[in-house]
Order: sequence, then C-alpha cells, then structure tokens
Amino acid sequence: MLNNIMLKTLRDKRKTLLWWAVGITLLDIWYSLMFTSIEGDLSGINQMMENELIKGLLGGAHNLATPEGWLGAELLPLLGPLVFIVFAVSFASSTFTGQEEKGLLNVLLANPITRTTVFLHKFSAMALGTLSLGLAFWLSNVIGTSLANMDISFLSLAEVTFSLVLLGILFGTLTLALGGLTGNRGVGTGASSSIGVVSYLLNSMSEVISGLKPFRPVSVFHYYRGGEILRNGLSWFDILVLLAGIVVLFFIGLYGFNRRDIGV
Amino acid sequence: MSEPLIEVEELTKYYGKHRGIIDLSFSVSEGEVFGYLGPNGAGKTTTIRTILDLIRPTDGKAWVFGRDAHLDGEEIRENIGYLPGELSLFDDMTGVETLKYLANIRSGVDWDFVDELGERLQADLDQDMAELSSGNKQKIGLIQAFMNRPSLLILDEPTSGLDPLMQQEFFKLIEEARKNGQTAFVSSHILPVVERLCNRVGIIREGKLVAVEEIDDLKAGVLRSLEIHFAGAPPRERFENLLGVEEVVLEENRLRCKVVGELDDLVKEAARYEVVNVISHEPNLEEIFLKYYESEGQEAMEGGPNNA
Repeated sequence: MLNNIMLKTLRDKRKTLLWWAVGITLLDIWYSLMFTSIEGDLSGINQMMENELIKGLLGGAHNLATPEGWLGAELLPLLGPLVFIVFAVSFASSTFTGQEEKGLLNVLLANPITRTTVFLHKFSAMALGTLSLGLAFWLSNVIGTSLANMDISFLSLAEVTFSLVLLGILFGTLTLALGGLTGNRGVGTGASSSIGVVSYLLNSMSEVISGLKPFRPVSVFHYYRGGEILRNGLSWFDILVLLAGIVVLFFIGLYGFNRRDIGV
Repeated sequence: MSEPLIEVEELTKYYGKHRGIIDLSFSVSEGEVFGYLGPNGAGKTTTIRTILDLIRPTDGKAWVFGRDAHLDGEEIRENIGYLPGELSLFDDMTGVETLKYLANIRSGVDWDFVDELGERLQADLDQDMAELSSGNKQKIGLIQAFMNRPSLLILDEPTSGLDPLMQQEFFKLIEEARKNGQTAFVSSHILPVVERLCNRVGIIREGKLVAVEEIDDLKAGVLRSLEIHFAGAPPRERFENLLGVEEVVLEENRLRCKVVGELDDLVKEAARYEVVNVISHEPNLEEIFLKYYESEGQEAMEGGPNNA
C-alpha cells in the first residue's frame, strides 16, 4: 500500500472506508427488510405522499407497494446521495487540503514528482474509494432485496448505484477543485456541502414550486434520477453531464493547484 | 570555482502584504557547505521553499543545477534531499514505513545506507510517528534527506531537537557528505552550528541578505562574551588594553568582557593568575547583525535593530 500516492491515500482512509461500508450495508439491508414488514399497511404512508411537498422531497409520487416505489421513496433520492456526497467530500478534504494543513504535502512535493501527479493520485484515490463504497451499496441492496423477496433486477440496482457513485465523485472533485484553488480545507468542505444542499432543494422543490422549474437543470440532482432509474433505466445524457462536470472540475482544481503556494 | 549549484537572483516573496524575502541574490558552489544564518522569521524557510518550488516567488528567480527551479522542478528534486524546518510526517506510520513510502516516490535509495544511518543516529524505526518525540522524528527526517545520497542537501534547522551527541553525529554526516562531493545548504539560527559546519555563510535578517562571508571572516568578527573566574582578583587594567578585548568588568574575582577575533592575548594574560573557571557565552546573533549594520552605515540603521 506504500507503492504510490494513490494507494497510500487509500491506505490512510482504509478504516474510514470500512466503517462507511459496514454502515451502508446495514442501512440497505434494514431498509429492504422494512418493505416486508409494512408491505400490508402502506395506506398511511401513501396518504402522506399525497402531500405535494413531502412527495417532492422524497423523490416524487410512486406506489410504495412496489419495490421500485419503495426504494425510490427515501433510500435512493435522499439517503443514498447524502451518504455518497458526505463520504466523497470528507474523503477529498481530509486526504488533500487536510494533509496539506498538517504540512504533509510539503514533504511529499519536495520529492521528484509534479503537482499534477499528486492531484491525479488524490483524485483517483477519492474516485476509487467512492467506487468501493458503491460496490458495498450495490451488494447490500442485492442481498437486502433478495432477503425481502423484492422483485428487482440486479442490473437496475447496478445502474442506480453507478449514478450515485458518479454523483459522489462529482462532489468529491468539487472539493478537490476548491482545495486546489484555495488550499483551504474549510472552503472546500463548506462550499461543497452548501452547493449540495442548495442543489438538492432546488431540484426537489421544483416539483412543487413551478417558478423554480426553469432553474432545475442547474441542479446537479437533476442528472441523478434516483428511483426513476429503476423504472426507466439510465439516461446516458445524465451520465455524460455528470462525467463532464467531473472532468471540468478536475482541470479547474489542477490549474489552481499548479499555480499556488503549498501550505506548511 | 565550478558552476553554481544554487543560484538565486533578486528573489522576492511577499505573502499578501507580509514580507517573506526581499531581493535576495547569492549562489552556492558545488561541494561547499553553505550556511544560511538568521533569526527565526528572517525568511530562511521562505528562501528554501522557493528554491524547491513549493512556493512561487513574487519576483526574481532561482536556478538549481543550472536549471530553472520552477520549470524543471521535478528533475531538480531528483537530486535533492530536503529536511523541512517544521517536519510533519504521517502519524500512523512507522519510521520504516515512512522511509519505504518516500523511497518509492524517489529513486536510488540504498537500504544498507538507511540501516547505517538509523544505527548511527539511534533512530527508532519501528514506532508510529505519533509516539515519537520531536527529536526522534527529526532523526527520521534526516535519514530521508540523506538516504539516496543526493548531490544537494537542503536542511532547514537540522539540529533542532537533537541532543548534543546526535548533533555530533550529524556534523560527521555532513563532513562525510562533503568528502563525497555532495553540496549542502544548511539553515540555522544557531551560530555555532553554522561555524562548525560551513565554509561560507549567508546572513539573512528581516527578509534581506545582510552579508555573505567566508566562515573564517565571520568568526574573526564575532563578538564573544567571556567570563573568567579567578582565585583572587586580578588587576583590571591589565585586561583593558588587550587587543580585541572590550567592555571589561571586574566584580570581585570575576572578570567579564567581550572579545572580537582571537582569544590568544586574553588567555595568555589570564594564565598569569590562578583561573578557577571559564564560561563562554554563545554569541548573540543580534550583535553580529549590528556589526554588519554599522558597517553598512546610516541607511541600514533604519530597520532599527532591537538589540536589547
């Protein structure tokens, strides 16, 4: 694990990654098992979903009695993105500007490596870490839905997981980009989190408030469709937008990092 | 003299409005041990970090091995061993792991030499960094700087945290490196360290290079405070007119004075009486600076050296 900066970075976060994977596995299995226990009595929840605001916040109106509807009601629109974004943002900030603020990049960059190499390795570690979490998410949903006898294809689960992973990586890259530009850990985490929350609210509120609708494409969440992916499959346009966002943010961060002073 | 190994021209760095270094120009030749002397906050670390391309100068330029410090940084650092002034290492890694990781990023690490360095510096390579004292961490820092026998060693306050015995070992390492043809750039705020190690010394104060001197010239000008305890009071006037001796004060059996340059006359005079003890105080950097400021004249006094 000490062969290069990327592996070393993953090594630094191995415990964090493990606990996140355990947590998300328990969450997913528990969430699926809930489906069996309340399958018979969904009238109350379905009634609640008639409230437009709640419906919007929970990813739109669907029949909760179906596996797609159940997974698409809270896990996919709300909990999943929350987990992946928080994971990727904190991974990116602690391994990049977090280490810089401890003076560790000072030692690293005095070696015969370029800043581009370091940035690329930090990005790859964050992306691989998020992907590993995605693997845990997919596997635990496969297990959970099987245990709960939910009729849902593993491929659909993989598709929605892929979309979640990209969403996480996009926010992780945003944190790296802000860190690359400013070298400040607080700016990276703070701004990324705020953008995440605003983006989420803009997207879900526009279900209810028609005046917000025109602005919906500005929200990153517009390109992550959650439960809808289970019903209609992946939209390649959405994937391309997320990927393009990652690439653009990566180069912005790289540009900033190559220009600025390294902190002690 | 061969090509300069480090060349710095009108190097200036401001952090926003804060002064880092101002208009520095000097060069270091191959094979020399160059001392970089100045009080804390004078700009030593800023100079070093600019040479390593960790920070970017506001103005001016630096070359190492004849190459542009910024454009060719990667190739340049191939042959540099660097010890940071404020050393940070990974808390959850042992010395061996730290060195292995850094060796994977660099090339040309000789593990027999690493073992030898570890033994000589009595470094604890199996403890996590978090559990090591700053002195023991410093040893790991020194090993990683020396471990691939780089042609240029850049050491920022290398003796900090080292006990006297380890300092001696470090002096030996530098001596051996010099014999190997390696060049060293050593920053310190401690005059005796620089005196002991270096051929030449650059003196920096408040971001400006005050002087670059051969070490012998520097030593000749250093004002030392001496205290000699006699068995009985010697006649004060015998000491007052000695060459290089100033500010003679006699309190009972104790003689205090300041000496510039050689101590020969003073020691010979003192030997006429029964000497109980001799105490030599470390020369005060501020006093050295004051001397250079005085020689620079009025303009230099504007900075107002606060030699309390």
